[in-house]
Amino acid sequence: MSDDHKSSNTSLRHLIEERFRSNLQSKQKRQARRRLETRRAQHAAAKRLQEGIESNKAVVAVRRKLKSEARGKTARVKERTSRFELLVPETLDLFTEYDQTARFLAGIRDIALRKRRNVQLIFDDAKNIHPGAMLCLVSECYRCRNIDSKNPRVSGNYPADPRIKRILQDIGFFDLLEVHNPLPLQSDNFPLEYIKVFSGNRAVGEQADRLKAALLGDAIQMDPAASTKLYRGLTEAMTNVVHHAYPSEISSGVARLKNRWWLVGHVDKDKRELMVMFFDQGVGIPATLPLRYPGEYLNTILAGLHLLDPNDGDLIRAAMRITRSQTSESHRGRGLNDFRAFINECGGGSLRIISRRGLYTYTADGNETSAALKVNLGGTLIEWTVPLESISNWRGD
Amino acid sequence: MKAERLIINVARDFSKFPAGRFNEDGDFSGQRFREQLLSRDLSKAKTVIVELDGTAGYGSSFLEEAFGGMVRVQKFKPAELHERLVLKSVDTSLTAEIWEYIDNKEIR
Repeated sequence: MSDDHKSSNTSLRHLIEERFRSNLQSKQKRQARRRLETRRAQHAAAKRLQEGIESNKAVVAVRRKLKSEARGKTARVKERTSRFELLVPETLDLFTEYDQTARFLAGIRDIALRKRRNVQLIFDDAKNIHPGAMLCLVSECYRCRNIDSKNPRVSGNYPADPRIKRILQDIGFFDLLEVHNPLPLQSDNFPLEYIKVFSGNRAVGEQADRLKAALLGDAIQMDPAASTKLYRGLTEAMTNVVHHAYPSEISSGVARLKNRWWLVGHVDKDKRELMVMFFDQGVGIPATLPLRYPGEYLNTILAGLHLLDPNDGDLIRAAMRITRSQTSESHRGRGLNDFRAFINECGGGSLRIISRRGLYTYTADGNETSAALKVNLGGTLIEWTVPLESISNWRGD
Repeated sequence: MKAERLIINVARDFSKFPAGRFNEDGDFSGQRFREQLLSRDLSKAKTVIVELDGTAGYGSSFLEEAFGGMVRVQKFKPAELHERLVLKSVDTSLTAEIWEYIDNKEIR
């Protein structure tokens, strides 16, 4: 073999070895890279798996927690939504069936506000609801539905009696419960028997005017002097609510809507009477009197009325006697005396006030009576009843 | 220099629906009437005429705070108000009641 041939073989071998080494290195590198990639992939997979497991664990844990909460929640919701069915009595009337009516209203408060259970009012037996009782019922439902907007607490079924259904619709009861009004709108045959309840938490005189317009329409004009006296009574009632009805010093035992009042009117076409009713859910006149006036002063007033052991009715009567300059609060105006002005101006009719456990009545001839009641009304109801013909141009249908 | 006289027509210049004693009671309270109209005009004019007719009515809290408050809060003398304040209304019992609040007489 020639030297040249030997040398070419050697260089070829070198070249092959070189290439082999190079390939080997490349292969090793690829393998190493692949191994690295595999390890990375495995690590990532392991990480993902771990994360997955953890997230699974978290999901499971959250799910378990949610389930557990949901079970608890469901139980609570069930407790809340398990409606307590409260049968509305055949007659709701604060003057002829006071105890029954006041107990029924107290029942709503007790179940919805103290026990915090939902109340379903069952109107199947309801046949007579006096406007004053209706106003108290609406106000109670208003409170229950507004004290906690997430949990309305009071609902009801549609009354079987078509007249009760009509009255409830006309005063806005179904609107308050946010259910469908089952009857067509009432015709504008003024004066209307029932109108929607007004409500507020300040002294808004315009509401008194709106009440009159809603009830009597444009054609029936109230005597201006009577109208201004009604306005006086209503705006003073509103002012009294803002100043005195909901004192922070006295608890009424249930949640309250601060300074809230309700107002409604009614015309009894058979009796030819106009009724105006004003209600608040405050602690009541008998409870606020000692806060407003010094004890010795109250005792003097009570002694003047020969009331040595006064009940709540007597205390309302005493409150009606209190005038501005008799008190240490020299700027307190006529106080509750303003409520009598409308009756005096009309020359007929009556004023009735139920507050806490007391009843007070006043008639146009100046006669006044007071009485104790067994059940706390849970507020103050002022009711004016006057002959509509004597104070307006209305002469019946 | 003070004007000879200014006229406040409550229904026109304040509200047809005055109600409540203090500002927190309502938008058209006696306090607001006294502070924004009556007191201001009494400082601008020798005589202020208040025309009361044309509103839906007046509650005693509004009247006492608006007019009785001129003596109690604004520290006017009743005699000065008798001299400088003229109350106009077809309802004489209304003007009499306001003067009773100003004079701090017993009201029944």
